[in-house]
Amino acid sequence: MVFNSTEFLIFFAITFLLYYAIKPTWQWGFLILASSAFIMYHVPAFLLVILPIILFNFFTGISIQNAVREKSKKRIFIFSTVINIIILVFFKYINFIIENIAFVARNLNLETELSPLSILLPLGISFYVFQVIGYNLEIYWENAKPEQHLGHFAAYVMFFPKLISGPIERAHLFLPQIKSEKRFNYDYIKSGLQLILWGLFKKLVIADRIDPVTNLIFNNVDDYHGLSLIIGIGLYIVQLYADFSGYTDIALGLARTLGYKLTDNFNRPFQATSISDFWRRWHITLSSWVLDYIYTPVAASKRGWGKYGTIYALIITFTILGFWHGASWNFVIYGFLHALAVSYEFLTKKIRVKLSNKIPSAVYFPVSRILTIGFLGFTMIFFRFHNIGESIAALKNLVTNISFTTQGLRLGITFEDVFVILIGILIIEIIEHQKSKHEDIGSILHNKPGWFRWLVYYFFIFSIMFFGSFGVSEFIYFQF
Amino acid sequence: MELSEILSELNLLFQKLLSNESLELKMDTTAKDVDGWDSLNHMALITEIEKHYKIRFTLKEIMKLKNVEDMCKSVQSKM
Repeated sequence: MVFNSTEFLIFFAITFLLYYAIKPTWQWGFLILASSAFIMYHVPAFLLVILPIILFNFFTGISIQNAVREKSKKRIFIFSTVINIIILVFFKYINFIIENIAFVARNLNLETELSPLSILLPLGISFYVFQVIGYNLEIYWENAKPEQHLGHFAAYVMFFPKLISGPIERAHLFLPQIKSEKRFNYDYIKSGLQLILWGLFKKLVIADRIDPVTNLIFNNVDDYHGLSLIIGIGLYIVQLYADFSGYTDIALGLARTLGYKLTDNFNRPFQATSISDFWRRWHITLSSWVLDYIYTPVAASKRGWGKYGTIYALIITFTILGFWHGASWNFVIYGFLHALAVSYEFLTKKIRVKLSNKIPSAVYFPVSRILTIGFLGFTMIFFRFHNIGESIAALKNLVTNISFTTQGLRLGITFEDVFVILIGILIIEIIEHQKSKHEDIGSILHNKPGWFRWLVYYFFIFSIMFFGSFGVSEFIYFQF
Repeated sequence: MELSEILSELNLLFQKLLSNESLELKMDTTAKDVDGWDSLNHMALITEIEKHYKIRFTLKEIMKLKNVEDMCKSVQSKM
């Protein structure tokens, strides 16, 4: 049940009406019920994965707090983290591990009867397992107290707007919101609907319109070379951003209509002037999670190594960040390449600062942005393809049989597509630029006259109706 | 040692490591307020403080440092 489907529209309309009709003191319980229905609609058995994880982490959180001795606190924390990681590895990485063991065994001429297991990846497990690991860590570090209400904790982990693809919400930001009763608030609901409309525009008008073009190129990589591949990669970056940030806006908007404020995942990532800067702007709740819970502990433990300790921590952190996206060596390489780039930026920081003082900013920053997007595009070859063979073939094709004729491009794209995509990108850039100056998207229109606000709403509604692509429904990040 | 003395010593350490002679730390200063005090050189700052005072922070203590005042208090508690 994806956000842009009729089933979800019906589900959400019923949820919304009942949510405000029941006694506010029971809203948390109703959210658990609605989230359970949402999970069971996909695969009922997924509930049997999330519920034990909720129970387990609820009690480990309290046990860490209640343990008297420091050693006991540490033991409970390590135990809970190991169990959480084992669960994630079992569902997400077990077949990857089996395939790699079988591959090594075959190459050593060893007989093996290992075969992949037939298991489904439970909905949103990568996101909610990271949430509960962070929750226990904050308690262990004594930065937070454990939640004492099992129902509130369950609603935090299960909350359906953020369940499938995040944001990876911090407990200390979400749990206090559950404690307050949510009354029908026109301003909150309006700003939620504005976010949903903006998210749908990005998803349906931009991402889904680009989707057939990038599929054509990436599914037939042998037929595409040079410029056409570069255009394909460039379009994929735009598609990925429009798709994931569109999803995030819808998730934030849905939560807002129910009275909750979730953390935004994006801050104009294509304005980044370095890869380090890019990760401060892209999938922020994931990058800040790995920064706080992987990078900092590893860097702290190796701080005696000086700069090497920082680089060691960066390589571990970004490789895990890459691998988090999926069970494939491609994602490991994707993360590792980003680790190299951030390490390079760390080591050359002083030189680059001096350089930026000498070169006019009108030249330095645009060039930095182009180089950042260029490197991102290069790593996207490992992100988009499913195996190393395909990625290497694409890399070779980038520099062989280059054709610059329009016929040579064969992108299968119509003039209308080009027009809509270019105008769409321009609108995204204008709106996101405005959004960065305001508290949220609704504030942009806050002081504008009524006729202007409705003109903008109708523009987006009609753009979605006339230019939206309704054939593609899945969001890219659902697979992670 | 008084907190204000620790603050002025930390100020010198920060100025040297971040190559910023005009930097003026206050008790409520956080990483966000200082150019160049990012997550990558945060650990270098911690190491410099440890070397200067011949102390050692635990990971838990490092994770609890939210501003300069926390740093000063943590240093003071170890002296």
